[in-house]
Amino acid sequence: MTDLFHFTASDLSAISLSLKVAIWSSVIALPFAIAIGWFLARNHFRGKALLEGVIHLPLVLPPVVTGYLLLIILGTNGIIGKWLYDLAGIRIAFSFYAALLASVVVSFPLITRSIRLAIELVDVKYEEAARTLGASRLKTFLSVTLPMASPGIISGFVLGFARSLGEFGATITFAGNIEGETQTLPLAVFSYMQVPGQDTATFRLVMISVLLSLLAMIVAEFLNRRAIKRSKR
Amino acid sequence: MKNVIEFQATLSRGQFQFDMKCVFGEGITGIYGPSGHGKTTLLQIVNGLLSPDKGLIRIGDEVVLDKEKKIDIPSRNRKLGVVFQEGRLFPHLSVEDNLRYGEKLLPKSQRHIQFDDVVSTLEIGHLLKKKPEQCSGGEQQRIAMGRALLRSPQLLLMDEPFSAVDVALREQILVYLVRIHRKYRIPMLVVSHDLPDILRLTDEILMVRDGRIEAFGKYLDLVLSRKMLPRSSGEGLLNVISLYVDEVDEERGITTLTGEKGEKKVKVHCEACNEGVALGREVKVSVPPGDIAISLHPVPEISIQNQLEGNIKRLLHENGQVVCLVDVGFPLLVELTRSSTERLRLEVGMKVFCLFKSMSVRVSELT
Repeated sequence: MTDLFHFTASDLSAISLSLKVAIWSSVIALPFAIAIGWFLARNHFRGKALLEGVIHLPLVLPPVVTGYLLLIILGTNGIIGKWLYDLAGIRIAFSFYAALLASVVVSFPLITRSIRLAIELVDVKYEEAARTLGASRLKTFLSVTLPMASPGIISGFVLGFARSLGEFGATITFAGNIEGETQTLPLAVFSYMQVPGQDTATFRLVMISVLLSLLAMIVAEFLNRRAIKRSKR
Repeated sequence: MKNVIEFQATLSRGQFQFDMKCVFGEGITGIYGPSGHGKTTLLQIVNGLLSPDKGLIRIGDEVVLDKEKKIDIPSRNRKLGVVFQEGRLFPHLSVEDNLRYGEKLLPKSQRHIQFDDVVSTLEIGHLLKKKPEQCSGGEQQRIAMGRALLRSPQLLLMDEPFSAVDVALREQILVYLVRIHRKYRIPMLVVSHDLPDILRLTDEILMVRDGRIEAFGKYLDLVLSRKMLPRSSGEGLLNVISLYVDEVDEERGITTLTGEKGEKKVKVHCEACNEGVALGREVKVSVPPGDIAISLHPVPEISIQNQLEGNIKRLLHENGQVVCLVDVGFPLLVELTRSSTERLRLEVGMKVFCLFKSMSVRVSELT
């Protein structure tokens, strides 16, 4: 029973790596998600459905497929990856950055979706009012749109964070399962499951996984409710 | 004149055709017409949120739009104050931050209107720390006016400033609008679909219908030139007169107002005004023309207290109704049926008495 709370060095490294990947990937995805979310919420153009489809693709594709596609593009023999490796000696696949990138790609549509909905809820009339008061488009966006959509943006961020924590398929395909470098919580759980007699160790990480995800979802739900309450005014 | 607004624009949006050309003066212009006939479109073209197909707009000395010369100054650089129908206060900002929003974006040298001054004129000092949602509808409307004023605008645009508040509050909004205009002397365009509201504010009316200007001028002239006659009983006429408080008799529940023209002093009685109305104070009085009766002689034994003597100046026949203009020291419109007119044999130049109950007189304290 004591084993249940006895974390090994590799356990701790998996937990900290997971948090690192999740935090970084949400932070990196956020500005792009805000830009794309705003673009989709406020613009109507030909081929919008196609663009939306492409952006949302990682949400519905099997993560393994996403990982495979990343490998084809950025792997050492990939379309861009080969070029990067030959020219600058940069190897992305099977590194921490691959885990990070897989996480960004998979969580991006989720964050974008949430932000887009939040911006759509901000009545354009407030933006018009800001413009008649002398605000440029950027100033309007920063001082009116963004603060009014902030609960949705925060909840999108938390959702992306949670999605990153749970990311498995794309990571193992594109980044591999390297302890200390790409072995995040789900991958560590998977590794323990492969070895007979490691039930306690598996459960140890499962417990942490459940706790972290639950916490993220509770925060997201709380912020979501606040957003809905605000928009009903 | 420096502060005039030259406006000309055409716009075609599906079925809707917009085509207007006019010059607005320095005072308050009421833009009146049914909903969906182009009033708001007119304001949106002036404030730059909507770009017409063709057009030219000059505000004071500055051309803000000239489609031919490809001039189209964006909304944020037009020196305008816009008050929207629903106020549109930013919900995430405090009242003070709302008020200062436009002021902060204005270079210091262009800030002619002082914050403290606006706050005291509109009596919103106690609200500064609150959020807009914690303020009443009338207060929100005043904050929106203040926010627009603090842009130190050359022109104020008001889109249905009365529609978001209930009838009792409209009076209050009117008071502040008049106060703003007297104090800052900024030309105003006020859109409303309610004629009485506009008339209590101004007699300069722009009538809009089907995206076109149907009539533009002084209210009385529009009526007399038959451009604004009751098409149906719904679109009523209204007398709005400026008078002064002469005597307040609280015991008898009567206030006496006077209007002066030459040597003749006209007394109008109305229901008691609010307590503490200062004598000599200017008020706007409205009387519906349909509430006025005409008699050829004074009627002594009757409850009606207002019996103003005057001469018939004009008689307009319209759809079985007659609109009669009587000069009682000020012009008064009276609506009668054709049969009454014929029975009394009314003619231009006749001496008549206009009878109306004190209760028909509505007083707006505007100063």
